Amino acid sequence: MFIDITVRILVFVLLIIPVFFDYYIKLLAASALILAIFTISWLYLERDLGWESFGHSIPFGVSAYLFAINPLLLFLSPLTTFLLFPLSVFGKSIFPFASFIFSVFFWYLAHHIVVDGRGGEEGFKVLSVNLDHVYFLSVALFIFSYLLIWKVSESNLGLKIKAVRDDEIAARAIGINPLPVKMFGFTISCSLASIAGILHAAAFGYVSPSIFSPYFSLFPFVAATIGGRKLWSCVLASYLVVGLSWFLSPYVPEFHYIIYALAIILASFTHGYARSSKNI
Amino acid sequence: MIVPIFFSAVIYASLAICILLSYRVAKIVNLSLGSIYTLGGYLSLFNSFVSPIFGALIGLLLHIFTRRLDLSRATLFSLGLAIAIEEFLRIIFRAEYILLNYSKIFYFFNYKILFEHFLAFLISAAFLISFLIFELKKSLSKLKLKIIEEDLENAEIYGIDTEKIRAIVLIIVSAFFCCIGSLNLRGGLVTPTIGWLHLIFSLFIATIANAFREKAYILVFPISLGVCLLI
Repeated sequence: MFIDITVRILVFVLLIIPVFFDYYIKLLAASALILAIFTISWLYLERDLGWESFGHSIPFGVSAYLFAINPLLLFLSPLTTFLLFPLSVFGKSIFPFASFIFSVFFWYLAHHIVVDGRGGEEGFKVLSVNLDHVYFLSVALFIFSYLLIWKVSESNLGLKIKAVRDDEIAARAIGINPLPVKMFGFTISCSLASIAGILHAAAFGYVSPSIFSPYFSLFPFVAATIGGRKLWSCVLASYLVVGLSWFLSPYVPEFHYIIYALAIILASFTHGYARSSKNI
Repeated sequence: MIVPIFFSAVIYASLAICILLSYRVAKIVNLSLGSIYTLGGYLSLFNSFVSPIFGALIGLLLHIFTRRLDLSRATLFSLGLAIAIEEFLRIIFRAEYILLNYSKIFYFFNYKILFEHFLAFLISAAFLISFLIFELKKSLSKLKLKIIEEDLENAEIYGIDTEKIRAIVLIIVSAFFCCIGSLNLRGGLVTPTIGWLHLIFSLFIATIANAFREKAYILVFPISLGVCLLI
């Protein structure tokens, strides 16, 4: 209980402190916060639905690309669910890897997206937004994401989602149709990931194919592994990974990949998979 | 145009067979193979002949660490290993892009080809033909592989040394990927992430072939040729 409260206080302190610092720290904090929203969206899919995605960079990156090509296209972001959800046919144990492979495919595909002579390897420039505005919007959307997930989890529909997660066959036996319930959960998760993607594009002012790279695909998993799969700890872990990566990358190239490799190898020995294999 | 397509089809078919073997016999979707392929390319800066040895060592390492893990956990470990190899290459070589040189160019049916690429084709063709002969012949080893593919526990009950066979498969597959990478990446720019593309392409072919169950190994080459023609 004490640790939980301390972690929450620490997160709130981390949300407030960057306001008093310069552009660089604010950009770092915005990046960490956006990735924390991304991690929350992933954690919802993993905890409430029992689906672990290694391809969450697909809704994240596709929405960022749509926003960069035309800001009006951001309303299409929830449709990114249809890119990830069909992969659930592979079942819970293969889904993480199928989604990861699909995200790497997008990574290569993004190099060939050219609109009006823009794009390709260079990526797209995004309309300029003041970093202060992006940061405050990120804080607001972080709180919104938390409240949304909390409310949905506690609701009647949230209980149905958890029932489907635990045993699809039993859920069907008590009259729950698993498909729309799962679809709803995926939509919530992908929409939040999309929001994070759009904020990321707005904060950095450009979108490049690297948005589909394993850095983003595996980030939520690594943050969740470090954070012990608890929501507030995962937010702190997001700050930790981003902070370490920014400060140590000049000395060790792409330092975050060392954290990634260690976290993934560790998780393969400690982490339980697929709460229920009884999929329909 | 048909010569490079045929060459690519043979190489990718042999890589796809390796992925199928890993999945069906060693019970792992080996995601480290892309990085092992890249490692082969980087090792060719020193000597192409050492690449199979390094590949085999990584295969052995993978076997030791994943022998008690189920498919999901073993695959997860291989992903971690892939990222570790990638990062190792970044730390050692620093530069993001490195140009790998080649020894000579010659003409094959009026098609200009690097000697190393031709060698990769020959090794892949030899691997493919010998595996097809192995698959079509009714030998005891083939029977053992089939039993392991169908039911691992059953195979152990029959007294088959599944761990030994798993180790052999992972070592051969890793050594083969490393060897082909050291030859096929020559004459171009390499980055630590270049192997993913080759892995995904081979994985795509292997996934289609896997749908044909018993006929998968035999149909790998026609599928690979079809996919290469299409792309």
